[in-house]
Amino acid sequence: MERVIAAAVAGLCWGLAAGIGFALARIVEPAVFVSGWPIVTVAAGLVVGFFWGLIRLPTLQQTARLADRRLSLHDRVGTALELVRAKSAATFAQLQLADTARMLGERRAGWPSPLSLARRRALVAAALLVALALVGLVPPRVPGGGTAGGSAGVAPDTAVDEPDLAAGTTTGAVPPGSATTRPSGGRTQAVLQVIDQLRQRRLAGNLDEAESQRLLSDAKAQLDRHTADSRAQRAGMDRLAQALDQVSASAPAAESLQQGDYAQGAQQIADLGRNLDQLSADAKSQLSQALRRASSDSAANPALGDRERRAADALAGRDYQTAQAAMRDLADEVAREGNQIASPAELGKARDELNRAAAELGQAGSAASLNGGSDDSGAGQSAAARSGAGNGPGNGIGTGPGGRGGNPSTSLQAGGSSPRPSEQPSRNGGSSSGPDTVGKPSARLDAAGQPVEVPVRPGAGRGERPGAVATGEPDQVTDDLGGADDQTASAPLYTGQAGAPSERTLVLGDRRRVVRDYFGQAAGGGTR
Amino acid sequence: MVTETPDQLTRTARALEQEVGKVIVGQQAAVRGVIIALLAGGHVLLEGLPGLGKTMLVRTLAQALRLRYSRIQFTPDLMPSDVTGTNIIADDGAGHRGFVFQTGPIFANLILADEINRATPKTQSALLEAMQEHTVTVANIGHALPSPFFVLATQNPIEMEGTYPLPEAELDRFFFKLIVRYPNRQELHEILRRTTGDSQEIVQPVADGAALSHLQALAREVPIASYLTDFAVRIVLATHPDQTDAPDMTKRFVRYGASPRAGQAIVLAAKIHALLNGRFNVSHEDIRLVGPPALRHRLILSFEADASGVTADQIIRDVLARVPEEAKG
Repeated sequence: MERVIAAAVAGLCWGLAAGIGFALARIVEPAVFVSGWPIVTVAAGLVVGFFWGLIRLPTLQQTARLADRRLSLHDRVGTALELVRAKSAATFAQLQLADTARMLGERRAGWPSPLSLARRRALVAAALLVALALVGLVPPRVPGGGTAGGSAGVAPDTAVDEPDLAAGTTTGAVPPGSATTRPSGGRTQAVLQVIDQLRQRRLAGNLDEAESQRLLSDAKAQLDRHTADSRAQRAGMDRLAQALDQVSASAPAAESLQQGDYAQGAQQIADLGRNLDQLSADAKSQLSQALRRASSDSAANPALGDRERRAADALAGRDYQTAQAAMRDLADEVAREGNQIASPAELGKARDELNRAAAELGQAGSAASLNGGSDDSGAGQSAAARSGAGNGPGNGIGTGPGGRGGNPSTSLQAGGSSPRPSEQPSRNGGSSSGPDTVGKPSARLDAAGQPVEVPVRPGAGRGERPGAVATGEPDQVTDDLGGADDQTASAPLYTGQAGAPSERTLVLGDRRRVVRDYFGQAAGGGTR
Repeated sequence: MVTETPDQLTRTARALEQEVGKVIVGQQAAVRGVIIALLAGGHVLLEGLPGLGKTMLVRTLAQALRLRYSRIQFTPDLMPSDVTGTNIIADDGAGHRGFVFQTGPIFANLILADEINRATPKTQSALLEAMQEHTVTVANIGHALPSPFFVLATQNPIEMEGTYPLPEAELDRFFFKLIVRYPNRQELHEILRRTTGDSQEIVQPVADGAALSHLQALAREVPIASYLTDFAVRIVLATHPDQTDAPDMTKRFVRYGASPRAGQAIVLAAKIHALLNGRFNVSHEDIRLVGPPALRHRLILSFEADASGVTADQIIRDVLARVPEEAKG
């Protein structure tokens, strides 16, 4: 009986431990581990323990030794059992048996009850039960980054299907198989989930017009927020890249950051930190000053700014270890922030999905309005490429807003006065009448690489020159290189915020300063 | 004065402790250890600083047991024949001269080998045969030693200069190695009171050699369960670094583990310990208690142990803590 109870309680403990494990796993992967598993494992542990205790009956010797331990009989019973089995008739054997019988009679009353024996295990089980309950209170994490609002023990399929876009989370479960467009992770996950839900509910017929508009509007707002966040973080990275570009040893890291390969950039910064002893004092001083400048401009990104400032301070000092550690910290921050930045492709994909959903819902107007949010998504570029609608050979004007990757060529080629033909006609070789072409204009930088606001006008429609729609002549908007941008139309007037320095990805790193100086002089009154 | 029942054995042992306690202040563990060794028929190595009463303890025991007592002061120039005896040319009074064996001081019931590590290994080895076989061989003639025969040796742990560490073979012949600790404050007060006054404690004999031999035979009859013997065996094996189940401390610090004599000593001592505690069977507790004095002189430690300051007692404590009462499988 004692053994059965002990085994059952032990099984319960193991079941509870496994249940806690499943509950923890459910927090991380709610789609894989359902809420019922902890309960099942606890029950299974109890049952298995009970039957384990039943089938493992103790031997006589085990019982005797257990009695010795329980009653503090100093192995009297165990020895007596062996003497009885050996049928020993020696004097000491008789004395020992008599002594054992006497002691057993005296102490038998002290045998603890099975329940009290299992008290310690029961306490452990109670503690595990409390732990399981506490773990169960933690809501499961949604892959998009937050946690679901549903309480513990509520199955995903019973949760409220109400998207919570403001928190970047959703409480509802997306039906399996519907998330074909859902990436494995990223900041646009929640938006894609909302779109999925929208489609599901539309297919199910339980979505009215107002609700769908509200959901679309919320999704758009969130996508815009992600876009803005990513843009701000990219701006910080670009400032850091500019700082690193001041020294030849850190130019590769700058190049990686400019190309959006933040992981490699972080690695190269860390490598640079390890090899600081090979840098000259002048180079370190120059790098320190550049990092300090970058940190002073990083008000929008305090974490990165702080690491930059620390690295600058450490580089100015003489302690190699400190400088190495500071550079490593900076690399870690770059890697961390790089992971958080949504790529243009990801944003573009989300925006495409949003547009497609809007179109499916018959909300063309809404789709058009939705598309005007961002210039970072690259949706315009992709749409233009998909449409294949050109504006005529040699025009080289991309009217789509262009993503980060599309910006450089667009900026350089967008100037109508540029004599060079487009280097990437397939990417920017025409305007499109699709909704993607009406986004915000491309990023613009001044000669110092700082973003500027440039008034531009979107194209009016498919195959039409924007200028021809409104005034018949292109607006001459001077970009950062001093050229004129004839892609803009007359109305409506948009202002675009530059997301990335446009000249950097076309000009080689070692020539960039020359180009910048050249156009800086031109912008400062030069006649070229 | 023959004691033949377990009860009488217990009473004799307690009376012996009481008589020794008249002279020796404190040192209960050492006294209990010596009595256990005597009842087991084993020899004892007493280790302690000078002046702690080692020699007096042995002398008092001899008085309480009414045994022939002999003291041998071991010195570097002591020769084996000085211990065992030798053949001398003697005149029989009729004009005939011949070799006659002149017995040495070892021919007694209770031998005090004082500062045994001061003699050379050659002289120390003269005790090997006597301790194990209770005989002495001189000029190819064996001479039996009186029964019972006990060697109680003392050694000083701090004076290493001019000493010769006992050979392992001789160390292994000691049933117990007991540490005579320094007395505490109250014990020191009592020692001063007893030794600086004019009163003299008279030790009364509580047994003789024959009674002791009977008690020795009686103690061997105490039953021990097979799983307890296995426990003792596992303890001994756990002192061997080449055993897979040996604790890490053993593997690291022990060069050679305890011999089978250690197992014999543990089991026999556990039986007597159980009897002295009013039981007729051995328990795990008995084995654990007699483990350290039975094992500490039988472990040969590595150089790393010496360098790290690890003692045999630390290793034994680790072994006793790690060997489970329940055998695996």
